[in-house]
Parts: sequence; structure tokens; C-alpha cells
Amino acid sequence: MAMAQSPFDLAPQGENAFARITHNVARVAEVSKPPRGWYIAFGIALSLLSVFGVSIGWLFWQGIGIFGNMNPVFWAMPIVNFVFWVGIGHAGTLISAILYLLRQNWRTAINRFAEAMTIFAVICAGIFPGLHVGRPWLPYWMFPLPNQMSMWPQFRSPLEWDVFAVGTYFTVSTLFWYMGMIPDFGTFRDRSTTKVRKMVYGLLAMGWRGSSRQWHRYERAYLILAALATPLVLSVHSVVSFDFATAQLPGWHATIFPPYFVAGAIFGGFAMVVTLAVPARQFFGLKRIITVGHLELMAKIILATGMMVGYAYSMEFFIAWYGGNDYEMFTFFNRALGPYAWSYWCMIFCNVVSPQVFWSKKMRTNPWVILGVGVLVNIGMWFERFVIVITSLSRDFLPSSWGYYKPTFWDFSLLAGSFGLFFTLFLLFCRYLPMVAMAEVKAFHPSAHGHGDEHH
Amino acid sequence: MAKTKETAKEGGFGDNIRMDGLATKLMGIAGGIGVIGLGASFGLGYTSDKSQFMHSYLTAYAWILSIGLGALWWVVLQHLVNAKWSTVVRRVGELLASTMPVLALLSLPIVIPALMGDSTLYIWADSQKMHADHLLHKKAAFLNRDFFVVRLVIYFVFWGVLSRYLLSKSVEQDKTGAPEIRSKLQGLCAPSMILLALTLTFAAIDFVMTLEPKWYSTIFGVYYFAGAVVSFHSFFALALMWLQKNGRLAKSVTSEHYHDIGKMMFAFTAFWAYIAFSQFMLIWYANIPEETEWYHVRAHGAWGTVSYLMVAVNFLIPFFGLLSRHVKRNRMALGFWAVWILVVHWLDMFWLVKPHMHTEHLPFSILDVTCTVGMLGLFIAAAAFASQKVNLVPIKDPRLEKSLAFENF
Repeated sequence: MAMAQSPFDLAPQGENAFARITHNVARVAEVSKPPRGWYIAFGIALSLLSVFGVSIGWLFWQGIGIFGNMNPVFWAMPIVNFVFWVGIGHAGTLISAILYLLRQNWRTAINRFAEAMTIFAVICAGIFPGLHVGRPWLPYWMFPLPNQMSMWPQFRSPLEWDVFAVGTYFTVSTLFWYMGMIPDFGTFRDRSTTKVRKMVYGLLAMGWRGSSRQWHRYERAYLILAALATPLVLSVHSVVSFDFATAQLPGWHATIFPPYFVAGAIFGGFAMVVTLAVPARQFFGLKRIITVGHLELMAKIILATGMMVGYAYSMEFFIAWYGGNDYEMFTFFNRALGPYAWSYWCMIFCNVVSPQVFWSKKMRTNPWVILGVGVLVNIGMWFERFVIVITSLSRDFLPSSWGYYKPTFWDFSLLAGSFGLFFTLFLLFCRYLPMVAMAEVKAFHPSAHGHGDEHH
Repeated sequence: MAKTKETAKEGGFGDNIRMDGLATKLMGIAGGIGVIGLGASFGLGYTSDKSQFMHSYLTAYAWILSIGLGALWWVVLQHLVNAKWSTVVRRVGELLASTMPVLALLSLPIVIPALMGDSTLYIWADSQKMHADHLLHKKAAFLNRDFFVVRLVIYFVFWGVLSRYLLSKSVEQDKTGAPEIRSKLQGLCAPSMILLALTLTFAAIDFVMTLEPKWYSTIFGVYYFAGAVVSFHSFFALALMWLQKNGRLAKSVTSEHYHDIGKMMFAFTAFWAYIAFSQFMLIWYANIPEETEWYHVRAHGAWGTVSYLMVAVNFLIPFFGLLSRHVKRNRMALGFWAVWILVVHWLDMFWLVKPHMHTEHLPFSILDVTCTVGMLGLFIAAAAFASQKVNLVPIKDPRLEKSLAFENF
């Protein structure tokens, strides 16, 4: 193990596994200096974040004319980016709610930072509709606020349903994330060596003492939140898919869109989890907590959800042919063979072909291969939304109004900038908050159940 | 836990896990009911109203096929995810899935008339009608008799071979105890799941969606799948209760297993509603004539009443009924909801098929009862036939001990 020299990987002496887990996780937040890799990453993230700031500033100064949007592509990259980021934000709740209900205890090693990733991704997503409406002083109109003008949002529009769906999702996943951290905040507080840390973590721990009554309440609350969050995993991206599928536009109007978008979101979300998990476990010496076994299971989920997405692509294509609708058929042939064919085949390669390497055990237990596929899938899922939005709009019913959309510099700088926001938040989280759910990992550690007894 | 349960050695399983005489008895009774039911259906059908017979038959067939396919899907899933809770009940699932040859035979009264060009059910069986209509003419590449038969043969051969293989390997493990069978089946079930998803989807399209050859919905396969899963779990719970009542598996299957089956019934009740709503809402909202036509029929008159009723009986009522853990752990209560779900799932099949026959009124008939009971009888007899010489529990599966001991938290 070449990385064993890292100060973060030094286990304390003795046999006590619980102490080792606490030590490994808490050290990340306690050492005076994080590893050099963290500084480099944070530097890049901050630079991108300033790109985001400058781009938004220029957008507000100049107006949405700086986008590449044109007739007939009135919806373009801001919507693509919105759907992309909301999709990323699905893995966290799936891991913390659905995998919990399915008794997948391995999730404890990764649920905390998957949840954090979810929240940051939803923050990134939430910015884009605000930018896209083009009137940055009026985004509060999206909310149904009573006002003297009797102006109300259009409740019949799926775009308005998005406001509620994403808002609910953000609220519940933040609650879930925070509640899960309370016992670990207690641990951080108790290990604090400075007054400030004791104060801050003490406030966040909300008086957690770890009594059995508190644990009992905590477990009940967790179960109830998991049950409440489960439908949210399905609802958010279903509502996002309604933005497209309620329209009559070929390539958008397909009844399979809701489950197809949900599967794609989980697919993309897990790809982002592995993209973050592989470097994080390397930098912070968490390889004994987030093991190759965990990465392998996530690789399997990526393969399974990738196949579901592939199923949806095939059903769309089949029905476009079977349905006998000329416009529908044209749209799909245009996707595969038209001017945007490059984006379509990029999507197919990244989303359908690349995860196939996970059929091999050797590949899905190699962290660097997993990282590579994770990055490819993220690219592919971005292109999936690009294909849906752009190809359908650019060539619709009237050939006279066809066009070829080209993104501008500012379209790309906003996308790159949103990654800056995401990574800045994520790196701060890694440095200051409990990155792994210590209490939960311990609950399922073999030594919590005596020696040799394997059940649970 | 291992001390209280005897380890499985040469039949010393500490529980009654053989059907013995019960299998023959069940085969006789269920088979008898099946033959009488189907015989009466054929008699009534060919002497009175052919259209009524064909539609009632297809309704019942779509229902029974969904239970069999649900069973096959479930067994494949348990292997694929290496499930531990279900090991003790998996054999019963394997037996229910092994009914595929009978389900293939039961499809003949639908397939043969179509092959002979009878367009009572499927307009596309009549090539003259197909070529008289521009849109149908365009679709003849898919909707024709030869390709239909080729597809059905592929489906049934795949389902039959897969279910047979899964059962026989599992039974082989009972004798040899070879632990590598577990990983071998897990490997096999990954590609099988893909093929099963595709064959189930296209079977749903072929048998049900092509009744209205101009209508299409990309989610249709998922809709049928959702109904298949929820009704299989209901049937499964009832089968286990019946076995336990007859002294089989009495100690091995506990409230914990029912609780998990109940959770699946609950989850897929919600999933069915999600898929049904997605399909309906998107078609209603976009309001494209060739799509809304299908719902238009189902939204007016007597069919409209059925549609509203289904919102309540297929979703709202069982959703709240199955919400509590006490219900899922109580055999009487769970049994009640299992019967309920099987009935409303039948109503769902009726709602899919029968508007093709009458758009104005609900063509209920005695044939609905005789066809359904007849097929159910033969389905049970087929499972009983397969159960004759096997254990009801995979006694040497390495996961069995965990399955016997697990508890819900």
C-alpha cells in the first residue's frame, strides 16, 4: 500500500475498531492542514466558482442575449444544465432512503457524502431556472406569493410543478442529511480541542448525548424520513420529465419519460458518487471505510441503471417506428443521423456502451476504471439532456424554421462555473463535516454484534 | 438461531417440506376445476358469442400470465441481487414460475384464431383489413401473423427454459449441496433479467396493446410489469398461507417473510399507480388525438365509472390498507389484501382488454368467471405437478440460515 504513508491512514494502536473508525473520519476535520491534493482541488474549484460569478454578473448586466439560444431553440443549455444537476442529486436520497428500506447496510459507508452531493447538486440546479427566465429581479414570481397585483404562477404548467417538486426535495434531503449528522456532530464536539470548535459543533449537535432514548427516537425518525423520502426519489425527476413529455413535440412526448428520467437520474447520480468517492478515499485515507467492495456495488448499480436507460432508449426508438407517426420517426432518425448525430452517439457511447465494462469483475473492482466510467457517464448524461432538448427543438414540424443551435462562450462558462460551485461546497464539506456516517458504520461493523455472528 | 433449527441433513429439516400426497390431491382438484372451467368456457363460447369468449379469454389470460411472469421475474431478481431473506420461500416462487409450459399452451386459443386470419381480437390478423388502411398498412411489418408467432415462440421458449433451469439447478443443490451453484445462477440471472425485461414488454405489447393497433405508449410494458409484480406477490402470500395451513413450512416461514412480501405488495401498488398516472397524465395533457382515443373510450359512460373506481380500488384503498406493519405481519389481514389485489388486478386486465369489445357498456359475462377460474386451476395444477418430487425449501442453499433467522427492524 503506497498510500499507507499518508498521515490520514495511520490507524491508532490496538484492536479497537470503533476507535479506528472515529479516528479515520474525524481526523480529516481535525488536522491543522488538509493534504496538498485538497488545496489543489480547492484552488481549481474556487477559480471555477469565480468564473461562475463573472458569468452571472455579465449575464445580468447584458441580458440573455449572450446565450446561444435562437429560433427555434428557445430552450437550451440552462435547461440542459438544470436537468443535469437535478439528476445528479438523486443518488443521495436513493442511498439514504431506498437502500435503507432494502436493508443494504453497505450504504452506511457512502450515504453521508452522497447526501451532501445531492444537496449541492440541487443548489446548482436551482440557479439555472432563475438565470434562464432572464429577469433576475423577478424569480420570486415562481413562488405562489400573495401579492397586490393578483399575479399568480401558472399552476397548470409543469415548470411550476418543478418549483414545488425541487423545493420539497431540497428541504427533505437537507433535513435527512442534517439529522443523520447529529450523532457524528456529538462525536466531533466531544473530540474538540478548541473553544470555537466545541461551540460550533456543540450547537450543531443539538444537545446529543447518545442515550438509548435518544437513539430510539433517532432510529424512528430515520425510518419515517426514509419512508417519506422514498416517493421523492421518484417524484422529482418525474416532474422534471413532465416539462418535456407534456408537450406535443416529437422526441419529448413519450409516456415512458417519468421512469426513464428517474432511472437516468440514479444512473448519473451514482456516477457522480463514484467520481467523488474514488479521489476522496484516496486523499483522506478512507480506503478501509469506503472499500473496493463498496465501489464494486456502486459499479453494479451503475450497470443496472444504465441498462434501464438503454431500455428506455430502445423503447422510444421502437415506438417511434411502430407508431407510424412520420414526425416521431423523423425525429429519431434525425437524432441518430442528423446534424447532431455526434451528440447522440456520444450519449450512446457514454451511457450504454461504457458501463458494459462492469460485466467484468476485474474492471468493477479497479477504482480507476470505476472513476473513468463514472466521468464518462456524467458526460453521457449531460449529452442525453442536450440531445433531448436541442435535437427535438432544432428540427420540428416546419422545415422552414429549422436551425442549428450553437452554444456561446457564456453557455459553457456557466456550465463550468456551476461545477466550481459544486466542488467548492463539496470540498468544504469534506474538510469541516463528518464525511462518513461514523455512528452508522459502527452499528453494522462486525464487532458490534460479537465475534463470528454475521447476521444483520 | 442455528441451534433451535435443525440443520438440513438427509431430510431432517425440522419442518414438513414435502408435498407428498398433498401434491396429487391439489393436482386433482385444481386440475379438475381447470378442465371443467375451460371446458365450460369453450362450450359456452363456441355455442354463443365468439367475441365474448375471445375477449373474456384474453382478459383471463393476461391476468394469469402476469402472475407467472411475476414469479419468474421474482426468482431471477432473488438470484441477481443475492437476496438472503427470501431463500426459505424461493422454492415456492420457482415452482410458480415453472408453470410456463402450461401458460404457453393456454395461449393457443388466442394464437390459433389469429393465425387463421380471425380478426375478432386482432385486426392485424386479417391482412386485407391491414392493407385497406394507410396507417395499418405502414405497420404491417410488425403486425403480421408470421412475425407474431415467431415472437411468441421466442418468449415462451426463453421463459420455459429459464424457469426450468432455475428450478432444476436449485433442486440439484438440494442433493449435492454445491455452493458454487449460487454464484453460477447469479451470473446467469444478469443477462436473463435483460431478456426477461424485453420479452415481457413485447409480450404485453403483442397480447394487449395491439388490440388497438393504432394506439401506442412507450410505457406500456412497464405498466404490465407493475401489475405482474404486485399480483405475483399477492398470489405468493396466499400460496404460502395455504401451504402453512396444510402443515407445510409451518415453522420455517414466519411473520418476517410475510412482512417483506407485504412490503413488496405495498411498494408495487404505489409503483403501479405511478406508472398508470404517468401514462394517463401525459396523454391527457398533450391531447394528441391518436393517443387520447384510447383513454377517451375509457373515460366515458360505464367505462368512465370503472376508471374512477380503479383509482380507488387499485391504489388508494390498498395503499392505505397495507400501510401499517401490523397488517403486513398479520396473516388474515395480509391474506385479505392479497385477494383484493388479485381481484383488482383482474379488473385492470378487464379494463385493458374489454373496451375493445364494447365501448358503451361493460361486457361482463359468465365466461369471465369460467375462463379465469379454469386458467387459475390449471396454473395451480401445473405448480403442484412440479412440486411432487422436490423439497419446498432449498435445504442446502448457503443463505438458508440467514433467511430462517432474519428479523425486520
